[in-house]
Amino acid sequence: MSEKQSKIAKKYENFMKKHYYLCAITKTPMLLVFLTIAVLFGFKALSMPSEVNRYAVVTAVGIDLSDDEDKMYEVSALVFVPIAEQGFSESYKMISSEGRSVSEAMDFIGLHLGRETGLSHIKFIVLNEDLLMDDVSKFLDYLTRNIHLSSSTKLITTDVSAKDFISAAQNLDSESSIKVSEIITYNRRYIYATDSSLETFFKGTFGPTKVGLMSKLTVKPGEGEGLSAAQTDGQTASQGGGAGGAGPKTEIVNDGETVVFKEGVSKLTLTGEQLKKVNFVRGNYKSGSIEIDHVTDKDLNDARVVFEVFGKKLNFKVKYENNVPVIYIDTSLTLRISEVENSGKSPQQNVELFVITPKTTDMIEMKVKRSMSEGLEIMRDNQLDMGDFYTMLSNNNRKEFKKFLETLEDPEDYLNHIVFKVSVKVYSK
Amino acid sequence: MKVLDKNINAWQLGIMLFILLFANKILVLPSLLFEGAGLEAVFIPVLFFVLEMGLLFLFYKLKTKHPAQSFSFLLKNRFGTPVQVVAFVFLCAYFLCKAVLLYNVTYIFFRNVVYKDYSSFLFLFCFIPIMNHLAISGLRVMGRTMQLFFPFMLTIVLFCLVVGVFGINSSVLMFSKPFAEIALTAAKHISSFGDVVLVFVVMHRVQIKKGEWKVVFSLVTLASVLVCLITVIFILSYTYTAFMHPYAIFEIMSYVKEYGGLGRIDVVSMVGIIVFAYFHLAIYLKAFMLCFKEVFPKINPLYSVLTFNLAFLLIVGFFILNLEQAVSFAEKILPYFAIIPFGIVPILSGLLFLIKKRKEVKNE
Repeated sequence: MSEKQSKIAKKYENFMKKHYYLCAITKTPMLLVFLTIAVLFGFKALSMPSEVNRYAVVTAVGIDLSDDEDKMYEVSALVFVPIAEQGFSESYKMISSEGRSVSEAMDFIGLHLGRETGLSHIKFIVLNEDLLMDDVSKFLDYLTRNIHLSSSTKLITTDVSAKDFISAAQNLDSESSIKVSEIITYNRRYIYATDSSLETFFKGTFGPTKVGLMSKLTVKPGEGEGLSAAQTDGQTASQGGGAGGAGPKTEIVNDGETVVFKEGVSKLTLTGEQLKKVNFVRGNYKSGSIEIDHVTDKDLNDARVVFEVFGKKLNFKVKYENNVPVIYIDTSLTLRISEVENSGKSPQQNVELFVITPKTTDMIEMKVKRSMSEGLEIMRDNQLDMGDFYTMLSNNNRKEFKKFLETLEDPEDYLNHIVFKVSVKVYSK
Repeated sequence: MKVLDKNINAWQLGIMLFILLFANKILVLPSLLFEGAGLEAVFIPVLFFVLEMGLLFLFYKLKTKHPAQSFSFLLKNRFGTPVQVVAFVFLCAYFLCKAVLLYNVTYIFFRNVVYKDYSSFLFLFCFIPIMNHLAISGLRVMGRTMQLFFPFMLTIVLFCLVVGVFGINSSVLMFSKPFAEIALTAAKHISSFGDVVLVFVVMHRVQIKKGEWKVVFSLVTLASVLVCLITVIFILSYTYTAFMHPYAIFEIMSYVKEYGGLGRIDVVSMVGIIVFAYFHLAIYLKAFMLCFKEVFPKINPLYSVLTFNLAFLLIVGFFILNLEQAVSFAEKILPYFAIIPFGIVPILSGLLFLIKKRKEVKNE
C-alpha cells in the first residue's frame, strides 16, 4: 500500500470513529434501504392530498339513453360526500352527465364534482328499460373493466328513467337504514332466490345457456306499496311501507319482477309469481312460501294454510330413451306451517305439534308439481334454459347429448324436446 | 460486500422449492388457463407438476451418484466447456425472464388493487434492495429466512384455500374444449412451470443425508397440490367469468369477502403475495448468480448481481409496461425458454448416466 493510500485509509478510519453511528448503516445495509424507502414514499405520501378530498365516493350508477343525438348516454351517479360533524349522518348527492360513452359521462361527473370518481363502493347499477333491447354487456363494459368495482354489485333494471330511480334512492340512502341494494339482497335470500349481481349476471350470460337474470324495481308515487322517502326543503324522511313522511313521496317497489336475458338482450319479464314457479326447478333454494286453499281435516275446515319452505332438495337423474333425454326431477320439500286461516275458528293447538296430514301433503305435492311444470313451460316457450339443463345433460353424457342435439332442426330449441318427469315428496319440519 | 455461499440441507432445499413452485401460478395463470382450456385447465398444472416431479427424480438420481460434484462440473467433464457454458447461459436467461414475468405480474396486481399512482420504478425500490440482499447473503441465509417464514406462508395459503372453498357454488360445463385447444393452452403457459430446474444449479450446495430426500419430495408434492387446489377453487368459484378476474389467490378471497361479508379478508392473500414475491425474486437472482459464476468463473460474483439488475430494469422498463404485454411476453417469448427445464437439462442429465455406463463398459 502506498503512502497516499494508507493516509486515505487512516483518514477513513478516523472519520468512522468520529461518526460511529454510520457503522450501523455500513454493517446493516437494510437500514439504509429502509431509510431510502421511507424517505421516497414518505415525502410522496405527505405531498398528496387526502383520499377523502381526492375522491368522490360513488355508491350507485344509473344509465339512460340520452335524448341528445350527439351524446349517447346519460349517466347518473349517487355520490357520498363525507362531512365532518359530531353526529353520524350520511349525505348523498346525485350528479348526472351525458357523454358519447359511459366512460366519457363518468369523466364529466368527475369534472362536475371536482374530484376523481371512486367506484369501489358502488352498491348497485341501474339500467333503464330502453337499454335492454340491445346487448347490455356493452353498457356495463366500462364498469366491469374497473378492478375496484365489487363483483357483488347489484344489477337492477327499472321502467322509469335511471336518473329518477337514483333520485328516489338518494332520499332513501340519506336517511333510511334500508338501502336499495339491501332490498335486492332480501329478494335473493328469502323470497325469489335470484341473485341479481354483476357476477351472477355475467356468469349466466357467458355460460353455455347464455341466460342471465336481472331484478326489476319500479319507482311509483307513494301509495304505501314499497319503500318510500319524502323530500322536504332539503330534508329527507323515510320509512318502510310508505306510512308517513312529509311532502311528495316516491316509492321504490320490489315485487319480484325479473328480466330474463339471452346473450345480453332482454327476452322476457317474469312476475314474482312466475319466478317462484321457475325457481322450483332451478336449484336448492330455501326460500318463499306455498299456499294451499280449501284444506279440511280434523282441525281445519276449508282453511287456507301457508307453508314456509324450510328446505328444498332437488335430485336430477338423466336417462336417454330413444335418443331423447329424460330428466327425472326428485324434489324433497321440508315445510313448516307459517299461517293458518280457518274459516270457522282458529285451531287451538300448539304450533309445534301441528302436523301436516297425508291429505294436505298430497295437495302440496300436486300444487308443487303444477308449479314446476308451469315453470318448465315458461322456459320451454321462451327457449330460456334458466335451470342450466344444458350443462347437466352435457356433463352427464356428452356423446349422447351431442347426438340428441344433432337430431334437432334447431339445436337452440333443445328444451322443447327434453322430457321432464317430476316427483315431489313433502316433509314437515 | 462478499457473496457468501454455504451449503443448505434437505429442509431448506425443500422449502425453497415449495416457495418457488408458487411462482407465476397463483395470480394470472389460472384465469388464462380457463380462458384457453375451460374446466380442463385444472389438468394442465397437474401434468406439468408430474413433469417437474420427474425432473426432481432425475436430480435425485444424479445427486445420489455424484454427491459432491456440481452439475456444471459434470457437464464440463463429460461434454466439454462449450456445452457447459451454453447450458448455463440458457439457464441465466431462463431465470432472468422468469423474474421479469413474476415482477411484472406482481407489480401490475398491486398497482391495480392498491398503489394506483405509483410507478414501476418506485415500486422496484421495495423489491430490488431486499432481493439483492437476500441473494448476496447466500443460499444458507436465504434458506434459513425461508424456513422462518415457511409456517407463516403455509398458513396463509391454507387459510386462502379453506376460505376459498366457501365460494364454490356453481357447476361448470366439462369437456367443452377440443384437445387441440387444451394442448395449445398448455404449450402457451409451459414457461410458468419448470422451476424445479433450480436444483441442478444449486446441486453442489445441497447436502442431503440419507433418508432426508422424502422431505424434499414431500414439500414439492405439497406445493404442487396446493397450487392445483388454488386453480381448481378459483375456476369453480368464478367459472365463466374467470377471464374477468386475473388474480386467482386474491380473487378467491375477494369472492368470499363480497358474498360472505367477511370484511377485508382479501388482505391476507395480499400479504402472502408480497412475501412470496420477495422470495421468488431472491431465488431467481441467486440462481442467476450461480449460473453466471459458471459462465464467467473469474469475475467477481457481485457483477452478476449488477448484470441481473441492469437487464431486469431494462426489460421491465422498456419492454413490459402493462399486463397485456406481460401476458404476451409469457405466451409468445417465454414458452421457448421452457425447453431449458423440460428439454435441455433432462436430456443432458440423461446423457450423463448413459455416457458413464459406456465408459464403464469400456473400462471393463
